[in-house]
Amino acid sequence: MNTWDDLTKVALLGVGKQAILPEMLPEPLQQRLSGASPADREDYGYRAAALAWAWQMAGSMPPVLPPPNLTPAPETEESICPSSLWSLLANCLEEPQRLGLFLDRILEIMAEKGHVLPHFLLASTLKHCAETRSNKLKYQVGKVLGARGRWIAGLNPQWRSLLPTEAEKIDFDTATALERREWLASQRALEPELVFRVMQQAWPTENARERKEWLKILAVNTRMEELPFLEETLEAILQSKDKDRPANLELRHILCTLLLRRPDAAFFSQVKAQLANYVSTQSAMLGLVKKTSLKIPAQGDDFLCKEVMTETFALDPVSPYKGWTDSEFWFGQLAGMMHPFVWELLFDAGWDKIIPAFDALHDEKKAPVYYPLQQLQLAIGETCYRPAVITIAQQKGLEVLMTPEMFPALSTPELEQFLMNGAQKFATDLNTLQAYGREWDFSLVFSKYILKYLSQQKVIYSDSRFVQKIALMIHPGIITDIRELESVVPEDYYTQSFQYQFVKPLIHLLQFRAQMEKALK
Amino acid sequence: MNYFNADQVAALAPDPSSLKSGRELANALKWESYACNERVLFGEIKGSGKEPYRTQIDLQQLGFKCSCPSRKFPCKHGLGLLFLRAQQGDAFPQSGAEPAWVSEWMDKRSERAAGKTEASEAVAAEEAASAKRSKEKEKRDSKRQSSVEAGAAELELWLRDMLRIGLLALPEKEPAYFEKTAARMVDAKATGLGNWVLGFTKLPYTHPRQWQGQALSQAARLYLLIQGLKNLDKQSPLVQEDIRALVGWNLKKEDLLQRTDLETVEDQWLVLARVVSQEPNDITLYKFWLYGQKSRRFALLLDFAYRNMPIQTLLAPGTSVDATLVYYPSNWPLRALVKTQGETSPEMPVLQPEFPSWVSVQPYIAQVISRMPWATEIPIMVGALRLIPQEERWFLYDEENAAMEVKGASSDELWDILAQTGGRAVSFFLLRSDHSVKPLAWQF
Repeated sequence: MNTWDDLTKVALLGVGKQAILPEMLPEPLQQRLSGASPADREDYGYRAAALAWAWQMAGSMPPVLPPPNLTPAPETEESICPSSLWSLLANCLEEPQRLGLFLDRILEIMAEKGHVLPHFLLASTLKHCAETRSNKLKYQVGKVLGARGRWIAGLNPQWRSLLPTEAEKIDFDTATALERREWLASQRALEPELVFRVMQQAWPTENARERKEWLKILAVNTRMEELPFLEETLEAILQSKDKDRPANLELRHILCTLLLRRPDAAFFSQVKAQLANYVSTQSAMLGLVKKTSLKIPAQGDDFLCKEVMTETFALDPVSPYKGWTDSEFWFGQLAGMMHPFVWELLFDAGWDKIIPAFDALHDEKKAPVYYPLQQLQLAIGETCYRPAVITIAQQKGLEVLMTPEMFPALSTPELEQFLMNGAQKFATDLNTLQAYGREWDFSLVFSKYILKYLSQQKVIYSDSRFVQKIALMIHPGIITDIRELESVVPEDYYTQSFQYQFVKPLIHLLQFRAQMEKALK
Repeated sequence: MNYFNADQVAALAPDPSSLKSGRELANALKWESYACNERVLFGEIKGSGKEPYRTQIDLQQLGFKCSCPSRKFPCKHGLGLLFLRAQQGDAFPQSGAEPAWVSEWMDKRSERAAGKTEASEAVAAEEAASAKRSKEKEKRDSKRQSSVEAGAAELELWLRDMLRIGLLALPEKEPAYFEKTAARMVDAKATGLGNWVLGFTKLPYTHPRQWQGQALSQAARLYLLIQGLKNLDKQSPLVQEDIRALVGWNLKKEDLLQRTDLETVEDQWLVLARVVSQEPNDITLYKFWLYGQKSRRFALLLDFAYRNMPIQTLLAPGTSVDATLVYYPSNWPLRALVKTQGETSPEMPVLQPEFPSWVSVQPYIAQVISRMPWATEIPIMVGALRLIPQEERWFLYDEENAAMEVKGASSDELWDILAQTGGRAVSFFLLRSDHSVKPLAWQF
C-alpha cells in the first residue's frame, strides 16, 4: 500500500476519527511538513495530501508490462479508393440519416473496382456497418476492408462479424450452439457447399432442436446434391422409435416441406403420383376440348388417411377447420407444401387451366378449399410461384393478390405496371419491396407517374429514408419535372411539406447521386 | 498547391447545421463562378436575393467574408467553398487576376492588420494618461480583495469540515450542496474557487477507486490554493499571478496585449487540437492546443461563445499558423493570446518528439508540478508509442513496455487512431493528468 492510498483511507473516514500522522509520510515529505502542526488535524491532513499528491505525480512511473500481444497491421498493398469517392463516403457516414442509403452503392462499386477503404475511414465505416440493420451493407463492407481493415476488424469484437468469409474462422468443436448456428446462417448464402459439408459431418452428434434450426438454414439455396441427404434423414426419423416426439414431428414436417418444394426430389415424385389420383381429365368434341378437374374423396382413401398424413407428413390428425373434412384439410396442407409445378405436371396445362379447377372445387364445397391459393400467396416470395401469381393476377385482378410477398416475383415492367394500377399505398409497398431486397431503376414513365402521384397525396413527408430510396431509384431524367415542382407556390400545408420535405431534399440527393456516379466512373 | 482537407474545413464549422449546409454547397453546379490563387479563394453563388452572394476566404491570414445575411461565422457559403476546394484539389480553377470586390477586401484586411498595433498603442497612451481611472481601479481591486479573502476564509472552514467528517459522505451529497458553496464564492467575486468546488460534482462516483483519490487531491489542492491566497505577499510575483488567476481575477485581453513585461513567442504554431465543452450559462468553451515548431513550447488559447455566437479564433486542427503569441503571466506559462497572426498552412511539419519514453517524461512532469501544483492537464509530446487495446481499457506502450493508461478519449476516437497507426509506434501529443493521458494528436 503506498502513501497516497493510506492518506485516502484516512481522509475517507475523516481526520476527526483518525489523524494523519507524520509517520505515514516518506522522510522527505515529513521534512517538508516540519513547520506544520499535526495537532491541527485538518490543516496537517490537507498539507500532507497536497504534498503526497505532487510527490506521486512527479515520481511514479507507469508500470512495465509484458510485451503487448498485438501484431502490427500488414502493409496495405491494395488500391485505396480515390478522394472523389471517399469524400462522398465520408459525407454519407457524417449524415447517415440523410445519405445512409447511398453507402450500399458506394461500397458495392468500390468493391467492383477493386478499391479498399482509406485507413482514416475504416473505424467510422466499420462502426456504421456494425450498427446498421442492413445485412447487405454488412456484407459489402467486408469486400472493401483491405489488409488494414481486416486487421482492425479482427481486433474489435463488435466488428468481427463484418469480416469476409475467408478471414473468419470458427472452431466447430468448441463453439457454442448459438455461435455455430450464426456462422452457418451467415455463410449459407455465400458458401453453401462448405456449410452443407460441415452440417453433414456434425449432424449425428446434434440434438433434434439444433437439427431443426440447421434444416431452416439448409432451406436457403438447397442444392440438388443435398436432396439425398434430406431424404435419408427423413427416412431415418420415420424408422426411429422416437419419431413421434414433438421435436421429431417438427423435424419431419420441415423435411417434408423442403423435399416437396423440390420437383427433382424422389419424395416429390412419390407424392405427385399419389396426387394424380385426384386429377381427372374429360375429353369432349372428339378429343379437341379437354377439361381437367380436381376431386377429393370426402372420406379419404389409402393416401389421404390419418396414418399416412400423420406418419409421413407430420400433419394434424384431424381437421381443425369447421366445414372442412379431414381429407380436404390434408389435401389443402399438401397443396401448400408442394412446389406449384406439381399442378402443371398433373394438369399438363398452364395456370389458366389450373386456377378454374381450384375455383370449381371451392364453389362445389362452399368451403375454404381456396387454401392452396392462400398458401401460394404466402409462399409467393419464391420465384417458382411466379407463373401461378401472374395467372392468378390476370384472372382475378391484382387486388386478389395484393400481398407484399408477391412483388418480388414480378419482372420490373410488370411490377411498375402493378404499382401504377394500385399506387394507393406506394410508400408501404416500396418499403416492403426493399425489405425483400427488390430494388430497381425506375423507368422514366414510372418515375413521372410516381412523382405526380406523390405530389397529389395529402401527407406529410417526414421519412427521410423514403426520399433517399426514391433518389436512388428514380430516373435521372426526371430532374426537370422535379425542378418545376420546386418552383410551384405551395397552396396548403401538405404541398409545402411536399416541397420542403420531399422535393428539395430529393434535388439535393439527386445532385449527390450525380456526383457519386461521376466519381464512380 | 496546399489546401485545407475536408477534416480541417469541418473543424471550422460553427455548428453542425452549418457543417451540413456547407457540405451540400460543395457542389460545383451550385456555384456561378469560383476560383483561387495563393492568397484568396472566392466564388459567387445564387442566393434568395437578386444578386449572387459573394464569398471570399483569405487563405493566408485565415478570414472569411460573405455578402449573405447569415450571422454565423464562417457561413455555409464559406465552408462550402472550402469543401469544394478540398474536394477538387488541383482541379480547382486558378486565377491570377482577382475581381475588384476581392482585391478591395484583401487590401483592407492588410491595412487593418497593420493598423491594429497602432490602434492598440493609441489606446494604451490614452489609458496611461488617465490616472484617475487607474485610482478608481485600485480602489475597486482593494474592495474585491477583501471580498475574496472573506469568501476564501469561508471555503477553508467548509473544506476543514469535509476532511474532519470524512470524504466518504461525498457521493451522497446532492449537487445543491456544492452549488450553494460555489454560488457563495461567486458572490465573493472568487469565481475560480467556485469552479473548484463545482469540480466535486463531476467526480466519477460510480468508480470507488477513482473518485476517492480524485476527491482528496481536489480538496487538498484547493486548500493549498487558499493558503497561497492567504500568504500571497510571500509568493514570487509569477506565483502570485497564478494564484490570482486561479481564484478568479481575470486579466483583460487588451491589458495583456499592452503589457511589455510578458513573454511573447513568434513561431510557426501547429494547431494540435480543438476541444469544445459546454459550460454553465449557455457558454461554449473552445480550447485550442498549439505547439511551436521552433520554440518547442505548448500554448493554450481559450475562446468563449455565448449560445450560437461565433468565436474569434479561426484555427483548424491539423494546420499550422505563423503567429506571435503572448503568454499569460504564470510560473508555468501555458495560456496565451494571439498578438499577430500571419499565414496559415494546411500542412503540419513532421516533428522530433520531445521525449522518447515514459521514463524521460517524468522529470518534466516533476518540474511542472513543482512550478504549478494546480496544473490539471500537462501537454507532452512522446515519441515511439504504441496504442494497444486490452479488454475494455487502452494503453500507450513505449519501447521499454512501460504502459500509461489512456483516458478521456472516446472508444471511437481510439479505434480510429489504431486503424490509422496500424499498431505501429508513432509520436503522440498528449495531455497528462493524474495517472493517465489523453491523446490530442499523433504523427508518424
